[in-house]
Amino acid sequence: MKGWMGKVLNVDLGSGAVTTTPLDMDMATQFIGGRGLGARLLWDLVGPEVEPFSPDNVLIFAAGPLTATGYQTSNRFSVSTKSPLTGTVLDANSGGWWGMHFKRAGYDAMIVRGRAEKPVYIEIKEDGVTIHDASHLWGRTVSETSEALGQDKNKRSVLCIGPAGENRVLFAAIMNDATRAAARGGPGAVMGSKNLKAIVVEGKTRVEMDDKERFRFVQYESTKMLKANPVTSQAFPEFGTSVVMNIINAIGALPTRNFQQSYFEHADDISGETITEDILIKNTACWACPIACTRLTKTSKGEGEGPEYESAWSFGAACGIHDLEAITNTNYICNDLGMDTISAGSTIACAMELTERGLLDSDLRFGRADLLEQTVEDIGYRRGLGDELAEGSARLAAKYGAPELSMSVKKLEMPAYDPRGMQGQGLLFATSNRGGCHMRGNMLGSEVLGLPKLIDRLQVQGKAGYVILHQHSAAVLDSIVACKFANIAIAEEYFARALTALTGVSYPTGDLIKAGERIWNLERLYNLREGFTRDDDNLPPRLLNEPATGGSEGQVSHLGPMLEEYYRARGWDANGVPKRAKLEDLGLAELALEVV
Amino acid sequence: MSAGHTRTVRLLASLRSFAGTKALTVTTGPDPTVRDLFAALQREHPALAGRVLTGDGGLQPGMQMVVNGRHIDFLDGLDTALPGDADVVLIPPTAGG
Repeated sequence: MKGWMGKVLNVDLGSGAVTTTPLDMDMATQFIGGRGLGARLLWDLVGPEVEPFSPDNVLIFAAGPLTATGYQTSNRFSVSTKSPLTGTVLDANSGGWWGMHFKRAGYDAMIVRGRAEKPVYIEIKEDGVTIHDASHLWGRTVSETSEALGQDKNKRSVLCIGPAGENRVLFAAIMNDATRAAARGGPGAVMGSKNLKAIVVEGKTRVEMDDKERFRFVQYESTKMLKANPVTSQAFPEFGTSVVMNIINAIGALPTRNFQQSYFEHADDISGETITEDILIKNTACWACPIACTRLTKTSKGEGEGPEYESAWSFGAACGIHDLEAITNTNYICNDLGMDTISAGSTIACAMELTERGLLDSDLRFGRADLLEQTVEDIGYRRGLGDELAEGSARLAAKYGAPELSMSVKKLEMPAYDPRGMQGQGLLFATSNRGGCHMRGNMLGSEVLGLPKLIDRLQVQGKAGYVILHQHSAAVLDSIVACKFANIAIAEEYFARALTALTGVSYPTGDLIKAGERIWNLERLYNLREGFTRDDDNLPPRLLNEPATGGSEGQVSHLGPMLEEYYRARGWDANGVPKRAKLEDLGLAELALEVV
Repeated sequence: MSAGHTRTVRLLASLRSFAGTKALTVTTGPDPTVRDLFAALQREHPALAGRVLTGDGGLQPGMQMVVNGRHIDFLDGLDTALPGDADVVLIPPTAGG
């Protein structure tokens, strides 16, 4: 067996049993690893009768065949579970070092079941797995826990939750290597519900390769492409992810004040250019990543990482705030408490609008930078109003009688692109299997940046095909597992060649993309089995009815015709259910019998 | 030259650090188009123009120009008119998000 390690670790926190089972290789070749493998395992293990915080829900940590090989950005892993925020299938994906150490400890995946009676942490080494008491760590922040458990990125990697996960904040993150986050959809809350504080890994076993010489040659070619590409070699290292702030604002697609506008007059104050000029210490990188987009920054209160684009937006434009110091400090706090910054900021923005409309009695108002840090702390510890915000914007807005003010899809808060100014992005958000998200595919390159080719962002007809391609590509990258930023310079063909050389399994590019389609359809089936319908493939009414501002002035999202085109192009019926012929083509027909 | 004969172009990302400024104002003549703006850039800021434009006055691959929120590819290209209040933005190859 090459590429994969061939083993799945099973930990039952209820009984304390630890076992190892062989990786199902048929499943692995069909669903690859990471997100795909996680979705396939979740299908069998967690049915509609299981509540997200039930001991019967599972956490699946999965590396991919590329993980730990040294291939560019091969540091990543995914966490799959049923989301407590959305109720959908969920995987959240993270970089850093933990994924590499986990796989080198000898495993492709780990399934955590049950609930411990008291707080515990798991220690994984090549010579054994131990469950330890973690009572002394409960209540401690991510940085405190990481330090207490001996975080050392070169040999011992700590993954943990902070107080937000312990308190079951519905958008709590799982953090690793202190500052990396598997954040969206609340996997940290599931971990907290299991009384699992941390997972520490140490591993040195090298991944075996089928054709090492060929693999290294593809790697050499990939390095050259990353170096030759101005985006991966210059733009990311120099300005980080927030460099798109001014660009998105220039086209009128920067959601502002809870999406009431799509142009923020102070965007430059929170842009990548200003971050680089005012607070950047240096850029840093995850393991085996030559891109190095991470920002190590400082404020008058301390040092940390970020803010990334989405965080600078969620605590910034979304809240009508342009105080970079306050935004950066809030981002540090959010990371240390272990929360998704997009959902945290967007939920605060929702509360600000509820307050300004007289529906909620609070001090939160757009522009109140002075309240940001305290509000995020209150969410993490579920204090006062923070306890209500910890449920996310959809539940908050519904509670106060204005569900339409939650800027979410399937209860997951949308990221920093206004669908009124990027029609394809809106379709992507509406159809994302984990809710409003730009990491299940992203139209930023196609609709704005001209990567690989510029298409008209306001055009409606023909967008479905692009969206579907991006969704399949993202599913592949999340499963092999590699960083999507590498894909800016390295085409799918090279990943396919690397995977073939690594595993000895022939993965022509078309077959690899088809695996992405298989994964996407399986996730769709999972959500259908949970009771989701066509009605859930939607956008907040504001985006369909209220015109955008700035460079997209007058535009609304034309989701309806795009969605019909999308279902047809996918081989789904008018209700968004995959047709039998499509399922047979993807090898999912038998699996789908209980749904379709 | 009256103020109506000048246009300001905003610079983003690496173009900002290259030029050392957030925006440049160039003299274009009356009723300018993007083509006139690029010609003015070549006259008045040749180093920046060399980084952004091709020899025949178009945008280099990967460079984007946005006028009032719209990429010029979906307006009239080099013939896109630039009214006096136009928001003109020059964007180098980049990504993020």
